Amino acid sequence: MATGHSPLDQFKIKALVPIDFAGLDVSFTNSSLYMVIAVTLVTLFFTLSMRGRALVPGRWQSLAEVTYEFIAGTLRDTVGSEGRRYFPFIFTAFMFVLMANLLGMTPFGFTTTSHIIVTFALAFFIFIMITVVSIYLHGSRFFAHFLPEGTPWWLAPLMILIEVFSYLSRPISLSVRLSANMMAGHVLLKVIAGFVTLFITALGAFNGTLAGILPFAFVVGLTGFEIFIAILQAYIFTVLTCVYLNGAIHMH
Amino acid sequence: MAKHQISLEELDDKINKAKKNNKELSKHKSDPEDKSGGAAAARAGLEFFSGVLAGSMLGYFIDKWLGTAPIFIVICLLLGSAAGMLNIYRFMNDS
Repeated sequence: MATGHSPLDQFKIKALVPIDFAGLDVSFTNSSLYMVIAVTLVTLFFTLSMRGRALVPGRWQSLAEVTYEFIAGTLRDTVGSEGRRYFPFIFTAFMFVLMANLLGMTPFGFTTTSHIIVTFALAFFIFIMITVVSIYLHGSRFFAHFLPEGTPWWLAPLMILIEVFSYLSRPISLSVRLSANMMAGHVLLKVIAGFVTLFITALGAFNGTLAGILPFAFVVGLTGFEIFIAILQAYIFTVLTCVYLNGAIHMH
Repeated sequence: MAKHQISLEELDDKINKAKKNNKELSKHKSDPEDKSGGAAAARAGLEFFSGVLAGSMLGYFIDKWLGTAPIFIVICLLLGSAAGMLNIYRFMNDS
């Protein structure tokens, strides 16, 4: 077990299987392990619960169908019927982020999405995909989007630059939102949970335990809140991806 | 009896019109965050910070590529903050 006392020790990357590929460190880390667990759990959940294919769904099948319909409905509402071809991608992104967030809430679980590089990789590829889709669908009119209608000629160069930066800030905001929420939530959990033992060491066994009931109760409530935030942030990530996709397909 | 019978074409027209209305209504649905209160404030702060971060990252890499030490960082930081404010204006006005 780790002997770290800092609330930030939970985010440390540990190489479980050190692999060195031509000087690059591509070890199988605890982050990779939890990503594999997330993908395995999502795959198992959907294949096993839909195995019965009952017309009147049982509990597991109902859960799978509700999740499917939820994201399909969100995609239909934001993009419309042209968005159906992107549904596998959007659904995969949602389920991966959701399962990775929820796995971080398990005891001793590692939150893969709390690292900015993980969420930035996701957001970067989503950004590239949406740009490619936009260029493929609209051709050179995609670049005309960077000059809004009605700007005076002397403001045009500055406006184009600002619009480009505004477009480039989308993957950053998408990734920072998710990772900052996850990291802040987990740091808060560890810090307040640390208060319980802090009170015991500071005030002695009996007084400390009595005083430690308050942060303990708070941590219990905060854990429930963090589970809600995990699900909500996965949903917000997906909805904003759908909104950007809608902008790429329709607004030009 | 003939007066109350609606023809299949008229029914088809009505269904298509209703579908179109539905589609237009759902297209105006904005993202789930409320436009008033703490969620909007968090979104505004995040958008501004992302604009500044995107601008400074781009400026830093342009500077590394061209070797012009802090010029592009400063310019792109200012442009990035302007872009962040434009983002805030855009999503606030969407409600």
